[in-house]
Amino acid sequence: MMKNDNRKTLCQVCFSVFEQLAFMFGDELEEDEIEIEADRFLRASMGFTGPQQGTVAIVVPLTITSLMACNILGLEEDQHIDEDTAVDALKELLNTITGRLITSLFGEDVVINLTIPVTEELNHTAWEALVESNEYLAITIEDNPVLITIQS
Amino acid sequence: MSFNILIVDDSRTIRSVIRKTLLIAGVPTGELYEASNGLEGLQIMKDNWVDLCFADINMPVMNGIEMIEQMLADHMLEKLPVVIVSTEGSKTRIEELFRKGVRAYLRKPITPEIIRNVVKEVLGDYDEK
Repeated sequence: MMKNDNRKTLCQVCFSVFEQLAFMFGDELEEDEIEIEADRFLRASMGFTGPQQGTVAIVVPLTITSLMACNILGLEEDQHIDEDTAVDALKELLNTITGRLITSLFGEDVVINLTIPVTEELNHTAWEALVESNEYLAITIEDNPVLITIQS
Repeated sequence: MSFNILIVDDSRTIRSVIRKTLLIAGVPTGELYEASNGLEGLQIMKDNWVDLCFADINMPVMNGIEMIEQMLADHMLEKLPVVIVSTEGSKTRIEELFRKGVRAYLRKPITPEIIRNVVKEVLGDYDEK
């Protein structure tokens, strides 16, 4: 289970990065408020090593990845975004969240190495398992539920 | 006058963002080259005239620090100004990069104003030329 301090920092960093990088706004979400019909989700994760070690991961409904990519790239919302571009945008978002999170949690004096982000697609059953695992923090981004975690 | 600029980042998204931000910032660009890792970046620098390089740290194949070390060992590339664009915020790492000759360090996300200022700082005020 995530530490309470980590949850608070994770929330602040996520909202700030979504807002600054993707111009998307977020809010906190209680576990019993998480409702979504989507059946395809994208999980991006990356590790960090050094004096502190662990993993940061984010899970989003596939439906919001296009909007996310359009906003980051400064494109019109109705512009076609291929799947590779959407995946790359999510990886970059996670990369930015992780970089800021590491500094917020562990300070600016330690040197921590980041691994390259990887992604995998999840179905609704896998999404529900993550929600119930209590290891992920649930937030809402533009009314879409998003899960995020740091395990260290 | 215009500047040939190389962007080295494994994220296609960030390469596009930097490219677009340079244009919005009004930086007079000539050729805009892109590489997805340090090794590709070095090859482009050897094959083309590059005025300024924006580089990430964390990349596969060859990371940004390794690329800068290779540049320092090559008398044709040792003076080429490098600006790091990264998510990392470790003071220790940033100081190490400056010791290796990096001219500026930008933390993502970047804005046109930040890019404009750093290009002017590194290459001179192009508005006055």
